[in-house]
Amino acid sequence: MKNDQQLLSAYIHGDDAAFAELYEKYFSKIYNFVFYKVYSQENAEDITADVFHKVIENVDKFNAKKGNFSQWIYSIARNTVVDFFRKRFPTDNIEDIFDAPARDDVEREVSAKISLEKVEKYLRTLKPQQREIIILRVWENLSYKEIALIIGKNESAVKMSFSRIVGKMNPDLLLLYFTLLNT
Amino acid sequence: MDTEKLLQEIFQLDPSLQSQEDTIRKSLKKIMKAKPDVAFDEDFKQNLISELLTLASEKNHSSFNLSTFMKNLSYIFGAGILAALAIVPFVSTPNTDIAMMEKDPTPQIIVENTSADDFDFLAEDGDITTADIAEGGRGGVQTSKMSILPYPRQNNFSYNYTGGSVELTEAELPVIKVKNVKTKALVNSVFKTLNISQMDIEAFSNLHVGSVNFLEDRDNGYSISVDFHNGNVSINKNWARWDQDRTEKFVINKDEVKESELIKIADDFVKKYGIDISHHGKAELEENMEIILQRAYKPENYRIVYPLLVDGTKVVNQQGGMTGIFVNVDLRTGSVSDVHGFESQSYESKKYPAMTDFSPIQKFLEQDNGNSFVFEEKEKGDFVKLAQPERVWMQYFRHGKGEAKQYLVPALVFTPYDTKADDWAQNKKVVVPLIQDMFDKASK
Repeated sequence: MKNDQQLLSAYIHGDDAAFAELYEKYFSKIYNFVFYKVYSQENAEDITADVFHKVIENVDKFNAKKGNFSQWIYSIARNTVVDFFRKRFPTDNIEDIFDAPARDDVEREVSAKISLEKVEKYLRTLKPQQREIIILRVWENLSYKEIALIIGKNESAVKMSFSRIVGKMNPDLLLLYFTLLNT
Repeated sequence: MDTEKLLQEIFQLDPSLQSQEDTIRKSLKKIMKAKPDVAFDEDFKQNLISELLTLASEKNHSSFNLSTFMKNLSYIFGAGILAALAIVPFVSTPNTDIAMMEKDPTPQIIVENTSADDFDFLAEDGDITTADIAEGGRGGVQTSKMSILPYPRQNNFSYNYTGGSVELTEAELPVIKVKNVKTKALVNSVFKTLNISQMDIEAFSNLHVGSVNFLEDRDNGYSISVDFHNGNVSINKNWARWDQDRTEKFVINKDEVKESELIKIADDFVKKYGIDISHHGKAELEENMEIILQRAYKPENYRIVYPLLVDGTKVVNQQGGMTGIFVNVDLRTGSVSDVHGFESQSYESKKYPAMTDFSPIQKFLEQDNGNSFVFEEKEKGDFVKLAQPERVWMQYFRHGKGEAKQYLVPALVFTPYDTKADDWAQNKKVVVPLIQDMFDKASK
């Protein structure tokens, strides 16, 4: 089985089926990653489609020396989500739904009907990257190595962050975070 | 994610957290329970890849590549006909103990093992008849038993096997089934694209794509026909874009045609359109050129065949004829007119009890044939010598419920030589299946 780099190389050299293999491998990962940030199926679909379009459009700009494909596509996904929120909240720097101001127009878009007002109160204590680590580890069941590749840190740094989040954070607060996330 | 495993992992990372074990455990359990349902819409996923592949292809290709095109189809249409490159565990191991079997060094086609009940190779109720057997257009006689070809044994000569005993050592041999294809992809998009709203497509149940054509939109272009029902693909001239002049002008002289020239045309076509022949042998003329040129009528078309190899072993039809990718070269235009024989190479296999004794096979070959269809009386003693056999896969079709199931059965093919009988007899190979039950039914 070809690795990501080999598939990407095959695609660049004309084998579109190699792109289809990459798509098959990453579609659900990217969709889930995006969904956890926007909490809306419609928005997750739009952004996921954008992500893969960007992969095709920018494939010749991918530089393997700067990172692997996994890291690259997740960074595209992360930036696309940021762009998504930036269009809605031009004056704020928002990386996911929990950074968004509790405004009615946002709340209406959230499929899960999160009470943003309550969530915001607690989640501002976590940085977006910390939220990513928790979600990817606990919900997506990704290994530290995989998470490290996605967020562009080394494995031990991810482990340290994870234990720090769990340890330093009030467990009730952590629980509330995840509970509210899905209420 | 297992809570306890995660808990241990957390404690390993920071042992001081063990003092909060109960609280963290409860929290983790609730966190995991709180995981939202993020199941995506399969239609969205499928539509997106179709859209992306179109974009990818436009961006990536300035010329058409059949191999890439065919691979892409498997993703657009779902697994099936063109999932030939799907990687699945190889478990089928044809008998390699037969001395005369020559292994070809080409890459293996990969076959998935199965224990599925619907493999359906040998029906328990004994309903295998000659209707199941491809008769090569010669017609056939219905019988309650299966037959080994040539069938009916319309021979007025006897076979004389001269090759010596063949060692058959494996108690079981795999039979390969070519997977059939059904796809629902494209159904909705086709109707959307054509903006056909006069009927409710949703009112039709279990719609599948039967066939689809793709046209190369240029002068002297080709069309590609994908037949999902029978699991094959063919290339033909897009006739509307070719010169229709049918004068007696020939690019290649019918009387001076050379085999090497025809093969070069086929090879060039294969190369130009990126046709994957890695599972096929070298190109050869389907018929012997000397025999062809002796005929009064000189053909305008020649078929070049790239013989199909599964695990390095040739696949033949039940008459012992070659199967594979056939490239038809038109002497009038000096170009390829059509290509056939792209078939699904998505296989599964199942093992069946095999012949372990050669003597029944030899006895069968040399038995009195009955001669129920004698075309011409021959002198007694006319015979056809058969040399040592070659190990092959024999195509075997079963029909039912409107579809054909294709199997590849391990077999021996015996080729006539040094015959005193007529030319017709010389071309009659005998293909003997090595699956015990099949042989028994055919030889009784």
